[in-house]
Amino acid sequence: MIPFLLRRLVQSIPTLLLASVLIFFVIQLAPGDFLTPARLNPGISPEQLENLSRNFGLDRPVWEQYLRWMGNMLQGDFGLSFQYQQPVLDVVWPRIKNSMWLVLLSTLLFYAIAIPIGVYGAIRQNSLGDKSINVVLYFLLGFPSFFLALIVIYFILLARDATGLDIPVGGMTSNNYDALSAPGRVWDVLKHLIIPAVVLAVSDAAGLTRVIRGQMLEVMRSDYVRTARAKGVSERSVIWKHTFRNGILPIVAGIGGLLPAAISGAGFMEVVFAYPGVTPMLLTAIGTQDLYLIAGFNVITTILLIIGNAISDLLLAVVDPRVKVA
Amino acid sequence: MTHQGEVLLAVNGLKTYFNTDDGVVKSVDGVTFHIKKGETLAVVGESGSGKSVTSLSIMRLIPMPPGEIKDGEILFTGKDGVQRNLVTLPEAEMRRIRGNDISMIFQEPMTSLNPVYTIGDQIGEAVMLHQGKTKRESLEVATEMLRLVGIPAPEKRVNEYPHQMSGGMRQRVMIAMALSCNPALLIADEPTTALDVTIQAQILDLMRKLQQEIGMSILFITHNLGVVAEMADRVVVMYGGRVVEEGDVVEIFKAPRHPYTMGLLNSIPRAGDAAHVPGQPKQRLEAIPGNVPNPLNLPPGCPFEPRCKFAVEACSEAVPPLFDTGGGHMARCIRWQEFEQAQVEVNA
Repeated sequence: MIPFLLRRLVQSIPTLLLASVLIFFVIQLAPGDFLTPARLNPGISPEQLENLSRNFGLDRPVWEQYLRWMGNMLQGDFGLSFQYQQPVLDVVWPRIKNSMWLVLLSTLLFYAIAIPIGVYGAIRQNSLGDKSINVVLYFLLGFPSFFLALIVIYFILLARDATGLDIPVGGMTSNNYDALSAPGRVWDVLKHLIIPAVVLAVSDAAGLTRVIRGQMLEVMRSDYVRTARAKGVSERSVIWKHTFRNGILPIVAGIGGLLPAAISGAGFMEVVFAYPGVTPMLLTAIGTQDLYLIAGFNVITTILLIIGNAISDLLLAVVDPRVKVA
Repeated sequence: MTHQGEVLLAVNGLKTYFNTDDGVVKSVDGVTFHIKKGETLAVVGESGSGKSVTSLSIMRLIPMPPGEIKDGEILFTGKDGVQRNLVTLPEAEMRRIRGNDISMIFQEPMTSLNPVYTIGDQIGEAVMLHQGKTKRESLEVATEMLRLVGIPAPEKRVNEYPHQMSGGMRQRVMIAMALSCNPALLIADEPTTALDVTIQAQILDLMRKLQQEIGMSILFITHNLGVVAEMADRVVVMYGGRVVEEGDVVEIFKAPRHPYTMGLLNSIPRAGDAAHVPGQPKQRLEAIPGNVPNPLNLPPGCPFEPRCKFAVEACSEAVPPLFDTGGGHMARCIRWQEFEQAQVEVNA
């Protein structure tokens, strides 16, 4: 295992280098830079602009900016956000944490929904239940999730008016958060998380459900499942021990993608629910061309993807004896 | 064998149909046969003759739907001495029979073992299930079974996974698994078809040896008449979902009374056949012309009639009954007496 990890580490160096080059130069492809709006402002003198430009390093050629950025990153310094005037990590980290809670909860729900439905669909293939669940899931998949979120918010607001219950539909904490006790704070955050997490999980569940259903159907037809039945194994054990255990192998192989996904935020769901996650920050950063904030965040995502893939491979070797980590 | 003569399994008028989009496929259409204790019965037939469906019906492992056991009974006397009709037995009781009283080995040893569990886990599963043993005890049984089927270093192999073994080894593991609970009946569905010839002989030897040690009956499903000659006491020949001939193995080989059986026998080379002499015309093996009839569209008369070189007009009128030709021999052919006469003349 140690040689495997070392080899992965060495292999990740060229990957990361190439990724960082791409990230940096693609951002530069957009016209203008962070100071473009300032240049259009008659209130800012050319000297001030030149000062700022020199401070931010924007007066240097692109390749030199890249090399300095790269050099600093090797020392653990991801640069400064122009907009926040703070180190990138300090800006990004709290938001990554917020996003991670939301994404983790929705991922848990995602699997909790997709696995039973997928297994059910395989056992009762083409039954009325299987077909109607499929229709609903595909409808939700085809529906833009932010729009679904808006509809959900609308109905929750109706319910709130009707019942007087305080169901939060935005943000991550209530106004009185600071006054709450520790368990109260957890409960408060959970209350805010649950609705966006459910909407997110439900709207994407069709894909994984379909994969699990297909996998189960394939394994159920396999010879070793027939062998298990011929041994007199109970139907429950046939399904979970012999079929499901083999059916999830490809899903385990893809689990590494969860790590970068966890910090990449919940996309528009965060915007719609005014959730202080990564996405709103990233959108503003792109809009204002906050170079190092975007680039730094993307490099972190790439690193996590590489780590996630290594974890995936290790996990796969744990669940599938035919796979050797090498 | 002490119980020789007692009937262990009696299949009476079994009908297993499959409801497909194109119509009802009568895979097994009124099959009757029996197996005595300690006996090896071979069921022979081409692909599609219904022999595998018969064995899966006995195990009640026919996928339902689309399959359905329409009619008939399967009377089986378990290790407890109680006779049950497996067709109507509740699923929970059937599960206690599977792997315990009746076990099964399959044609594809490469894919018949679960890739993610060790050999020991898979053999031990049945032992824990049926004999109430603990995990540790079941692994000991598994090790013993591996030793019995001739796997070297069983203490080590018991912790290995299927992918670490060859096809022949895996079939030995399947046999070990099938015999781990001392079944009264072992159903072997073409157990050597996927193996190469030297391994085939080893597996057959092993099965014969274990049958003598354990005393179980074997239902041997095959299309290989060489294997039949080596293994079977009695033979059932199936065609188009029906039994067309049944009898003692020596009788079947010496004096077949159904043209299909004759065709099967003529289509295998024999040691006595003249060797090919250069310059002389080659002696050809006789193949049965044509194919197994489409099960959705069986001819109204004898299902073999379209391929039969002895067919007469009466053959296409009605399905012939099974004629008792004497001495426990049966044949589903209206001209069986003529064949018997001819055989007597040839053998004389």
